[in-house]
Amino acid sequence: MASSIENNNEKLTLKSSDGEEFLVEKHVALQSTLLQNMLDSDCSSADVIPLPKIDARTLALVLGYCKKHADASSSKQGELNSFDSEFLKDMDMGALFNLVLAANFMEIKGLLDIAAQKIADTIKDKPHQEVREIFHVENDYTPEEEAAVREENRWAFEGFP
Amino acid sequence: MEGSISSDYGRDDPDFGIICFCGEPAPLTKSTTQSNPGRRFFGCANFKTRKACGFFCWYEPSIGEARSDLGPMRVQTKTKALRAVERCESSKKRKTTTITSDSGTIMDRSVWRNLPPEIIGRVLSLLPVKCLCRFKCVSPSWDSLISSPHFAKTHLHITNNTPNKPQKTLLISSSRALSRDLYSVDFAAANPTAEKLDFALPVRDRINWVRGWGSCNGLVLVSDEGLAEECEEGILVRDGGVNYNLFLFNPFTTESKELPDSHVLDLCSVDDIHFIVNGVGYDSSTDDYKVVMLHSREVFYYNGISNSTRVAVYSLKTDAWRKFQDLRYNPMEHIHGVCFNERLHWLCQRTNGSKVVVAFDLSDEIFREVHLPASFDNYLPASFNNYYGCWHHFRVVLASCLCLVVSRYEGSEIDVWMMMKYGVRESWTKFTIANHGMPLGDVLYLAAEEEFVLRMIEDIGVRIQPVREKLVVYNPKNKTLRDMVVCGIPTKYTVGGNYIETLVSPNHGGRIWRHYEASLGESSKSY
Repeated sequence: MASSIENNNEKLTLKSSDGEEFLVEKHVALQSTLLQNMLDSDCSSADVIPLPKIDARTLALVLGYCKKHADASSSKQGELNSFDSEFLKDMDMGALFNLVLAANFMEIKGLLDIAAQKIADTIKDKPHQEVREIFHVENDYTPEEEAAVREENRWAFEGFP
Repeated sequence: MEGSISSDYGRDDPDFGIICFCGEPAPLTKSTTQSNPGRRFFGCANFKTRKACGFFCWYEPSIGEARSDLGPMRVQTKTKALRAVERCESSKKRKTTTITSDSGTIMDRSVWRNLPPEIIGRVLSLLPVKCLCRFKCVSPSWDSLISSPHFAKTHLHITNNTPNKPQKTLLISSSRALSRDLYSVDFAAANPTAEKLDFALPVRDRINWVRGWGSCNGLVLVSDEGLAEECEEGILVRDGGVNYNLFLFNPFTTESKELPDSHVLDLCSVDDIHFIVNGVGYDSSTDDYKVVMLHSREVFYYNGISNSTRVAVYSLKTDAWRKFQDLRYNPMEHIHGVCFNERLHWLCQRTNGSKVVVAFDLSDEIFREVHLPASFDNYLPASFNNYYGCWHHFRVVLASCLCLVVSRYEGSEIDVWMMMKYGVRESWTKFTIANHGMPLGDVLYLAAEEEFVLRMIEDIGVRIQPVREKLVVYNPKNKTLRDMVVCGIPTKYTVGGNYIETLVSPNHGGRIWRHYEASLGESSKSY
């Protein structure tokens, strides 16, 4: 990665919710709009930036994504696309939820988009009862109400229990 | 929480099911502090006594009022509104357990604990309509979110930015006399099937015709035209003129709305020759859907001599028609207005017989001419300008650009004109589909640079009553035709235009919608 940007080697320290510290290069951190805004304002890069909502495991994943995208900005888009799909492959729902929350908090649009798409693809063909469990939604319908909503949308339930 | 507090509100309503740390039901109280005037909260029942446990959390109403955690969600129809109120009452009875979050705001368990609503909304907006209608059963909150106009807009925006978004084509069966069945076909599917739509037009008249007039953002415009005659024992006793009803209809969510009478046909009798064309489009400047009706009483076939055309424009927001100044053009062919660049386009004829595309701008509501290719008037020599002698068939269609399709029966050829750069006359380019003397009918579905579907008449000998029709697919790249079989397609049908899959409702944003919002406001006040 030959870049002419000044302070290229400048590094930041990010601290996860469980206290682990991560040293990242500035250009990698700039993938996050949140960090970019912090650096643009008075925040000194010498400080440790706490990320109280993101655990170490998720933060490591997020930074892996940021590094790939920061370093590959000039390379082929196709390569990045295959990285993205590989990146989320086999990831369980819990990890995906943490990732999408982290991407939302750190304002990393690309990661937020692919993680949301991955969740959408996963739930698309699932019965609504299962989706309810995945999202931990309490069923507030009485059985009669649920039956009424279902009857209204009967056509959408073809092939579903 | 310091400040004067009025405890009259909900004081005696322990059924809310909120228990304070003393283990007693926490009453709902209205705050009168300067920072939160009128805001309601649950507090310890023993407030201001020595026993007080200090329990406090804000009450976040879930029904009828904007709920901060769900954004602009509203209940969509009256039945839903009623259901929501019932639900609220039944949830009181059930004494749902509640948890208090760090910030001190109340969260009942129907709120997503893991993902914030904006992310749930983001995920859901990526799903197809059928899937979303199914997920309305997940919970009342999901139902409200998916049914809200705001969500429909977000979903539409994402759909419109998807490359190769799936399109369906509306077919109206004319196999049986007085048939009103609507079908939809996805011609791009591997094994296209005609599916009967769950949409029943109200039956009013003995004789009627159903036509489709294109679509915009998934809202399909359908007309039902009937003779309002009264018969006694088969004998006509009263000629009530012509009934002309228009419907906006979302084939995916099956929501529909009958438009009010435009009164364009008020002074017409059954014996008049009517020529009505319609079109539907979206005006982003006012966030409104508009239906445009052009009505000419004498048709262009008689050597171009005709009355001018009456114009009426319907706005979904105001739910009313407005009459416009008469137009000095006459529409040709019963083809819907094609919406492109927020303009509705029809192929029209000037009073001198020359042809022109007329574009109605949905924003400034002005008709403008779009120039046709210079050679276009050669299609119809003046002496042949008679319907029965003319074997030309024109229509404006849309791929990624404005297209004109001219079927030339006698040459068994179809000319496809594409306006590569909108508004630039020189950018019209043409290609021709030929079929070795076999007649090609009309183009049903057109996708730029991809295959498209044509309806072909198999027997030219009996043109007045075509013996058989079949569908063929034309591939412009290698200029080949192949047969297409569509399962379940009616033997005879007309084409009502293409539409995309959206959640847009004809009842969003209009008067009905506001009416329900108002009634919701009242119900939440009394509650």
